[in-house]
Amino acid sequence: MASVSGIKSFFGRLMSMDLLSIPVVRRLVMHRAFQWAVMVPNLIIFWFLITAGFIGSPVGNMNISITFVWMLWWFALIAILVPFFGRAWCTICPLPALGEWLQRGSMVRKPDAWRPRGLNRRWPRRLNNIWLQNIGFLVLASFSALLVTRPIVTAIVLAGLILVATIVMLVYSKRAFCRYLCPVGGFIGLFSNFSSIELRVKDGELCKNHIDKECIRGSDTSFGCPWYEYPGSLVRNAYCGLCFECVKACPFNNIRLNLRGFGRDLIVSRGKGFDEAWKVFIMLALAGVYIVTMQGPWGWIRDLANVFYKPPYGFALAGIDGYLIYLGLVWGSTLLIIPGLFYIFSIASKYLSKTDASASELFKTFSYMLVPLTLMAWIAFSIPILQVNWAYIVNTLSDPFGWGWNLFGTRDIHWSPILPSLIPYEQVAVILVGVFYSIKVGYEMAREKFMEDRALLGYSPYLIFTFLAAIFFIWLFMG
Amino acid sequence: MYREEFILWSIIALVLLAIPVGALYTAFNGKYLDGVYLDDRGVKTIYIYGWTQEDGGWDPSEIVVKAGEKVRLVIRSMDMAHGLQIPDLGIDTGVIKPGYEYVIEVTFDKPGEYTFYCSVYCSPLHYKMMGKIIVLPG
Repeated sequence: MASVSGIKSFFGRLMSMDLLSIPVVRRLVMHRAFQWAVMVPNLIIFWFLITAGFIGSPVGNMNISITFVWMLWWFALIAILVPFFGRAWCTICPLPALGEWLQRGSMVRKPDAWRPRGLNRRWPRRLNNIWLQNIGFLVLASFSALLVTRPIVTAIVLAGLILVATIVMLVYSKRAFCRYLCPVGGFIGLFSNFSSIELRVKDGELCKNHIDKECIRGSDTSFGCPWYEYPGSLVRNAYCGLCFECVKACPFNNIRLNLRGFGRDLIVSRGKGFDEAWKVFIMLALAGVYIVTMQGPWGWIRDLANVFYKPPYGFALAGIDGYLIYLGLVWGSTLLIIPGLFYIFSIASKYLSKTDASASELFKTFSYMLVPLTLMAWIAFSIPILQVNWAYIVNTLSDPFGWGWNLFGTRDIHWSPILPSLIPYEQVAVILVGVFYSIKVGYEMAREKFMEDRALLGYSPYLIFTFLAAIFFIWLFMG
Repeated sequence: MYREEFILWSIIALVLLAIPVGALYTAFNGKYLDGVYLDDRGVKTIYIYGWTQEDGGWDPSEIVVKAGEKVRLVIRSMDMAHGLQIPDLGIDTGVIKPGYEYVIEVTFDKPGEYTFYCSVYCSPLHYKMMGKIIVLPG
């Protein structure tokens, strides 16, 4: 028994640990060159991937731009970085690097008497939400069949994102691109609310009473938060890009970087909005669409997703006709059908709970309980990408352009999936983890939102919705 | 701008410039061009990729060699089982499983055009898997 309580207390201490209390970690993030040093190698790697996409082999699995971006990076992002490290990708993301350096007129140092370069305009108040990110993500999703298989499309999109980020950051202040436009940032922000790490202040009162607010305005050693956040009121991970400028700025050493349990931010009411709620449904519906399209046995649906597909026989749906059906499926399911279904469940919840809150309010609040299930559905979708196709990553490491090189002697390792028969069981296990956390988060919300004697009744429609979604995914994986 | 920052900018710009320039140089200096690669012995190696997705086909689908020139054909199946057959020369690789390759060294003696096909019924796009080798006078 003593050892069990010892283990419990160890994990308790671990899960509330301030990583910035580790001297080496603190020294690292306090150094002005920290973010630069992690961005530059990444920028060079992505530049190489873009080059390979433009001039390497047009065959996807022979080109490092496809294997590294859509197999390795994607898996690492969705299955490791986001759930365990929140927006850590934004710390090292190379897309805004050039824009930020030009905007600051500096890569590392905070110059004396510093003023931002460029037009430094305020981001329009009306666009102060993630709707543009939602639309941007749906646009990319609309031609994802080409994006993830054709190196040149991947290269154009990556180069385009760097160009847009650079232009936006020269027109608008700070990281407007990352906060309001980046199609990847939208879902990273949403899912990072689930993650097991958080950047918060140690003493909120200290921040409130401190007038200078260097964490926002900057100091001699810091540019201040480029994400338009005030660390003193940070209660969710959604828009903290983990750049650590606030850590560098704070004269009181009042910032901590905590380990914590999963899903904590999802029950926080402040900051929730319909833009984020729709993001949940976009991600949930797209997980289903992608699993059906890319991993399902229905070849004809896959063909619909390919705008350039020309069927060998006249009777099949071809090219633009079929593609329009696919577009209807992507945009309709994400923006209308799934949110519409959830709204019906919210009306049922309002009726059963007899709460004063409107169905729309319940819709917005409880949509966040689907975040764990949605994230796990994406992880489940990503498992076979790596487990089946790992050999292509190793091959292209030696022959990045598909030109017959064999730099590290790994070009000829044969395609051989690792235990493919286990994949459906792994996927189901991951979905069940998502169900567990969704139910847990939803239960917390129900206790807060409904009267005690009506909480379970009011919660029951959302439980049913969660189970139906989980059963659908399990059917896709096992069926 | 600080001097160190200027040096850093210059180094990063040089690296970013060197990547596409180096790749293009490698592509166009004769080591690689249109699926052709000279191996260490100076033998012209031609990689032929077969896949059926989308429009499918062989890449490259048209290969030009000189009569009497020894070439090494490396035929790879990218997505599913394919095979490459050149009936006029009696060459048939048999089934090449996805991810595998078949290597053959061949010398084309007579100038002319030699059509090659996929020898395995791979998909409804199988009929598109054709190409030709144009042998020019030596």
